[in-house]
Amino acid sequence: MSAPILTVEHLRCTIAGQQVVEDVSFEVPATGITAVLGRNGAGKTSTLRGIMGLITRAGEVRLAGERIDALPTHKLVQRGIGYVPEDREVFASLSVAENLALAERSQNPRREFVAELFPDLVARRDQAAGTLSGGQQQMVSVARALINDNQLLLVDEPTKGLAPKIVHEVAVALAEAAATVPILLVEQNLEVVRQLADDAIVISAGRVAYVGKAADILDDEALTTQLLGVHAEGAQL
Amino acid sequence: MSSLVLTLITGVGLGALYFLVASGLSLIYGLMHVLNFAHGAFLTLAAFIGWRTAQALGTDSWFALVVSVLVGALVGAVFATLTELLLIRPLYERHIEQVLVTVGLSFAAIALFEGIWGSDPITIAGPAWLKQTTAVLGAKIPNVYWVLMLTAGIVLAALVLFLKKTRYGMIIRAGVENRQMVTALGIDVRRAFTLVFAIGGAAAGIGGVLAMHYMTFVSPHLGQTLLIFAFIVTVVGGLGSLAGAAVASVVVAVLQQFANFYLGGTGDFIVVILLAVVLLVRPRGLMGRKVAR
Repeated sequence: MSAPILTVEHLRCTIAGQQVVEDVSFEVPATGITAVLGRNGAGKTSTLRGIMGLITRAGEVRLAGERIDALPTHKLVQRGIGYVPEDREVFASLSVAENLALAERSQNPRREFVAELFPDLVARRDQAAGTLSGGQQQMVSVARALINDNQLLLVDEPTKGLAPKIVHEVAVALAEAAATVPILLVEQNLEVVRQLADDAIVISAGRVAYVGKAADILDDEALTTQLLGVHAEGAQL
Repeated sequence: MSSLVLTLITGVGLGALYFLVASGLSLIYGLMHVLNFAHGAFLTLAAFIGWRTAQALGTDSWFALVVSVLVGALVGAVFATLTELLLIRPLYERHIEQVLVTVGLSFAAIALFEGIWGSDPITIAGPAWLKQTTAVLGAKIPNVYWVLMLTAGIVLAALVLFLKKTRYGMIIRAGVENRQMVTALGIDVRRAFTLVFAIGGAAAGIGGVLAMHYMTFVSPHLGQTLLIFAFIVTVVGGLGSLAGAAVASVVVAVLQQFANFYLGGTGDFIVVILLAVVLLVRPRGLMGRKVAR
């Protein structure tokens, strides 16, 4: 088994002085998609934001074996972590092309790869991102992370609030992206998790409650009910 | 009719001066959430150095005026850059402390200027044409207003081009919307902070030299007088919106001129009422948008 791409040890995060992640430790394999699951408010998004340095954090975070927890966010991204935030956070007044251009870090951005994944964005390149539909904004958000060669993607609830057809399109794009880069995926839609994820980490009350194969937890009704509060058959958390 | 035209055009001219000061304030707040009370100090120092430059070159020449404006822009930019690097950056994300340090700097700067140049206003001279008038529909418009409008137009066009056509302009526009997401794309947003301070300082410096010609004097308190109206313009236009600052500058100044002329010198009072109405009815200003932090 290859070395993990990301190692998180005793991660603790606070927002405005309040502890939102108590003590989280896990590893992300160097290939495939690892899902982060948990009930609402369990600390999934905060864990990703803590790894990114977007909220106050303590503990150790290693990317390909190197400590990155002391780095500011922009340097951490420059080391090769792409981030797709919850709620898309596209720059509304900037065009689609400007949103993508802003994200380009390398000399050879993967424009063709992104254009193939999201042809709709090519047609709308001059449109202000704020005027796009939710699904199209999500494509911009994902495309911003995919346009660079990254070592790891952190993707936070990419299907949240999207119509089923768009959910499918985003899931297909993530599956294709996962062929080139490992992904740590926070996702509420368990059908999407079943479709995409190899491994799963369940966070409960700011701590890791389960680590294992995604299929194992999704197939275990008692476990999903206990840890996620739902049955896994096409459920959303 | 002529008084209406005179009031309107001088209002637009005064608005041009407000814009030169307010554009930097608005960009700085929009990107960094810093209320920069030291902005008036940038303006005042630029005016004094511009005045000395013009004196050295011959105050009545256009060449001296143009050079003094450029020197003023440079002085404003350097002063603002040093302020950002030495005082604002160490207090990153500590907004109260940042406000306090800019207030302290503004007071200290005024005291320093008084120590160097005295506390009394110093009458200045410029090209004779500035003191002459040009007739428009029967109204005799002091020529200094045309210079203010032309300069503000050039500065606005340059800022728009910079913001629209350059990568740093794009970073600043994106940062005004969502600074944290800019860093999450791997961009060191602090460089944009310094740049925005430099640009704002340069615009204030240009405004300082021209304000000196508009008022025909320079004094250590020149910046403070204008800063109040620039803050009003910035809030009315929408913090962080350059277009808002441009529109609000003209609206505020024209309203102020009309009230001064037709309502017995109540211009300042009316402007404060406008500020209160905007804050109550539309707190994000005419063209401001809700921002993510």
